[in-house]
Amino acid sequence: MKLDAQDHDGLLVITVDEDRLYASAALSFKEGFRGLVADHSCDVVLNLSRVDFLDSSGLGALVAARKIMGPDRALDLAQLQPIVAKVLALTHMDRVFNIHTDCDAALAAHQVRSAG
Amino acid sequence: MVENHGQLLKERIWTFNGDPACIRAMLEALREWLSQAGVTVDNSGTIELVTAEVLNNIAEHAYQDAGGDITADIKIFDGYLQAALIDQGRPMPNATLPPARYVDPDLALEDLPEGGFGWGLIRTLCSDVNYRRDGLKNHTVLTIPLDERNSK
Repeated sequence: MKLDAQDHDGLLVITVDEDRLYASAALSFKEGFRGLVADHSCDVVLNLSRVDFLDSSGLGALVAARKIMGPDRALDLAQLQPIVAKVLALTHMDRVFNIHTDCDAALAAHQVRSAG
Repeated sequence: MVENHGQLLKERIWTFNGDPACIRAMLEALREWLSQAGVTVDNSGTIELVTAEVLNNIAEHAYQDAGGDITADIKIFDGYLQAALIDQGRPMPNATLPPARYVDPDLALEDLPEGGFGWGLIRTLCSDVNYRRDGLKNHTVLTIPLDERNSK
């Protein structure tokens, strides 16, 4: 599971460098994510632009990631491909995450939150 | 079971072991075959998703993570696709399909479920879902409409 993390002025952007978030990838995603966010205390944006498949196990991994962050940190999602957006909408899980069209929008939203 | 009267255009049968690696390989081959058959990206994504959900359930519940043979008989008809997934594992409890499950967005963070969404997705995206037990085999048959808008 390739995860690429970049710090943008206090916002950690984690890009999932895989094309499928499958059942079999869910565990390595959770472990990789946990390792990356343990070293930071800031909000995180998950860039899913490369992911073109997400099943219910992949969705469970996103929920687990949200829980790893805890209630005091935000986990937003950016650049969802249509099938990923569809899975989130159909399960109503799009009400649990902030979803942005792209990383620039996510960064802008973060700046607004930080200033407020 | 809903009666469909479209013309059969293409069919492909896969037989594979119900473990994560083989399931993943089959789904990748399915995506490739659907693309070659002219199925749109949108429809292909839906088909791959509901097939993955059933296959994951077979591996985890019917075969209890011990593996076992699965046959996937995929038929493309005029206007819809039928995916028949056959395994020889444990029968479905109560001989019925599990209900859909939606998350309550007001739940506390630590109470959010991490599973149980598969059947809801299957029920929403398929025009028909049928399960029957036949001797020692489970037959799960999904019907997915093929939306002709946005065709290539």
